[in-house]
Amino acid sequence: MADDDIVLGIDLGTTFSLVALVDESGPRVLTDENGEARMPSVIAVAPGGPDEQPRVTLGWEARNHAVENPHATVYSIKRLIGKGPADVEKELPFLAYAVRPGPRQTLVVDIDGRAYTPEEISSVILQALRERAERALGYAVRKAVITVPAYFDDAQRQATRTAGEAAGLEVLRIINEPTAAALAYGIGLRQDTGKAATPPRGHSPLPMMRCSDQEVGDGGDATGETVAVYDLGGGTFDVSIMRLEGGVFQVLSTAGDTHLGGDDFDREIIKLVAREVHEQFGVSIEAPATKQALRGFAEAVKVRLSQTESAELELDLGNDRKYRRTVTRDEFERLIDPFVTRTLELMDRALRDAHLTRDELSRLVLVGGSTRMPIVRRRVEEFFGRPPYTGLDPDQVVALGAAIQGAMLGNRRWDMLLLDVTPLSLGLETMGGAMGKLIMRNTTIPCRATEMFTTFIDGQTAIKLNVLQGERELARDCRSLGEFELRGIPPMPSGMPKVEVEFMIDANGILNVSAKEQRSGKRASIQIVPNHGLTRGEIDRITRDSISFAQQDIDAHRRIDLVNQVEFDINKTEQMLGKVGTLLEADERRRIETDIAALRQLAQESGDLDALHQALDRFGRSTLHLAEIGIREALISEQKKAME
Amino acid sequence: MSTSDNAVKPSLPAKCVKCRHDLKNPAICGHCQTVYPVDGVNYFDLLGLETTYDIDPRIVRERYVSLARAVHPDRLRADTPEVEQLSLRTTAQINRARDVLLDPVMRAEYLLGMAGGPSAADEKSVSQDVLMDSLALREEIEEARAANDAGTLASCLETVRGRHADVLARVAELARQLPGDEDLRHELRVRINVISYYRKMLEQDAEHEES
Repeated sequence: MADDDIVLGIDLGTTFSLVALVDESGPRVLTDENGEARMPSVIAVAPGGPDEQPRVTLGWEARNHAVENPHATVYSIKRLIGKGPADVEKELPFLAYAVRPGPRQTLVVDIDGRAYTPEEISSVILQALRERAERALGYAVRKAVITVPAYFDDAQRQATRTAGEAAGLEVLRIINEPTAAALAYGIGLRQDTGKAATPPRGHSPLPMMRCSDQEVGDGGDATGETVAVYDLGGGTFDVSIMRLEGGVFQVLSTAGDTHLGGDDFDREIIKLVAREVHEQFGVSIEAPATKQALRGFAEAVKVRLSQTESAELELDLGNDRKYRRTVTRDEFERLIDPFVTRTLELMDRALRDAHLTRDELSRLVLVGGSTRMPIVRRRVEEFFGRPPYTGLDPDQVVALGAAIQGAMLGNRRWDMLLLDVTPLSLGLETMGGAMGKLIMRNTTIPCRATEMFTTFIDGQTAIKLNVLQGERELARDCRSLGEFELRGIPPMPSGMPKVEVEFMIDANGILNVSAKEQRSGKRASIQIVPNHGLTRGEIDRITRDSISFAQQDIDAHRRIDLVNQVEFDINKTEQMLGKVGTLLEADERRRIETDIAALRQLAQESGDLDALHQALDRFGRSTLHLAEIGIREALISEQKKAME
Repeated sequence: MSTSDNAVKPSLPAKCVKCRHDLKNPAICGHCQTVYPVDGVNYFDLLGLETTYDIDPRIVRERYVSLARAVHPDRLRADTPEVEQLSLRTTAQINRARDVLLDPVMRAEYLLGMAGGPSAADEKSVSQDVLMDSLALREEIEEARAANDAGTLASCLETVRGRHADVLARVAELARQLPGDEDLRHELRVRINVISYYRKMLEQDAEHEES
């Protein structure tokens, strides 16, 4: 097989990430020097000495030193990627590292004054996996298929693809995790059939070379089978119902929650401990190091409780204060029961959307590390009325499936066809703030819809659209993918132009929009200001100077980010002054104007980044009063509008 | 429904412009794998079916799969970005054709569109009787739910399902007679709208169960 035929399959997980590939000997996951396939999805920026550059570490090393370096150790970044400040309010108190809003409703991680986008952090993980594969193969690899939760929306998919590009990968496909698992299941990668998911040395070639007219997998027969893949991971839950028949893998429906997984179970233990520590010692757990330590203990307790009936937890609070506690499995299961119930409700929704009953499923396949928990297995079995299928390696199967899809795309001779669906309905904000659906959830991708638009005033050359994803009736309850502005409409009397806009969801589940004015035949250009995502310029920047852990220039980055932040804050403040400046005392107003000039000058001249960072913080505090007035005035004017 | 559903262009190129072999399908040449845009092609023609209300779902699925196997962007070896785009668009159209033809109501609506005149969505008139009846049913369902009266709730939903089935049978009967006269098409439009009332009631119930 030529080098460029190798396509990596990457499972970019909340807690762990893996890389797999298919070569002459079949699909296999690649391991590190200790034989471990899982790489913790954790990166740490270790502070350097006075003359040293900070050092970026990742994986087990970063994870094992998390407590020593809590504010600079980033984990569970998948729960933040493609998300905005409003989405993660509940998440933030649990994070030991600092997260702040970036431009256009994005989030950035702040480590020692340097802003890292979730895309950049994910790209470091992807790059490390790519390098693992290159070491194993002995040559450079460029192509990859990366998995995402089936329920990821457009912004989250785009962001994941961006992270791949920043890691120097050509992302051939973004594939849904349960679909990848089903692919591995469907071609017979099952532990119990002797065709182990991690093929031992000297194993026979896998049955994926078979053609579609032969049976696929040993559970399949001429009439095929309908399976549900229940995928409960570290941060996300998905369920996909699919039909496997004659080499065709067709997803019928999918449902999920991108904020439901092992992290949430850990948090129940964290909340319990935090409450009891407060009761017993009157202190709250604020210090990043304590938070980080507690997170580690909570996870260990959870894992232990899958094996034993109870687990001990001990937390040293300093000053001879020790918190000690035994957690029983019963107690823990009561805490997390609502989450498990929610997964089963989502399963019912997926079944309904697929027009199937529980009895019509041939199998329910468990995937994802959290399905090792006894409560999950028990409740799923109760729901299904039969034991679930646990013959797949829950950690590895997704990466293996991605590698199989990669091989299918790299070499199109295999007679298999994968048909996936879009998880969320797509639509536009209509007059009055309603969500007008154009493409329904669970429509097979690729899919497209067209809609006609016209102008309201004579000579109008641009039209703005708010593109939405979600199931709710009101636009404000759905996710806005951003403002799409159609430009270059030929000037005509109002109502004359006929602009046909095409919304195409491609095989990655990612939206592409194009538009054409029908009378002139002119293509209207579309300017997209993405919400929760990066602009093309920002993508280029992180692709160009992606933080590599081999060598870097963190200072230069930090400078760019600080200067950007300074501009951003100054602009915001000036806007606010323009709007509500008259409500300030003349003194305060003058002081802010002086501060702006000083900060601007410092940003231009200063080589002392720490001083600039401090000045930015001071500026934030000194403009707080103005910001409060701004928010108050905005609220009042909203209320007025609502009254009218 | 997207506007392109009803724009029907009957004529197909009979021979592949590239290799001059006969085109067995409007979407792709079976001989040289040249993909064609199918924007205006009738969904029945696209899947190689006779244009009629009564179809065999198994055959629709079979035709769909064999076509998707050839055209799908995962399967087609596209040499240029233009061909890749075309493969994407044509596959999207094939997907849509399958979804429309497999759904009895959408299929009837599609045939209605082919017969000409306003679409079902343009027809605002729903008979007063039906409106009152469905309003009353909805009220009864809500009351039963508020009172936690499972028995009444189940029997109400059974009624809705029964009505749904009755209208669906009538829709099928009318769709088989298309193009028919304007009276027939008018009745078909009205019935299709009524079905969506019942469907919505059943969907809302399912969503209620979930929350």
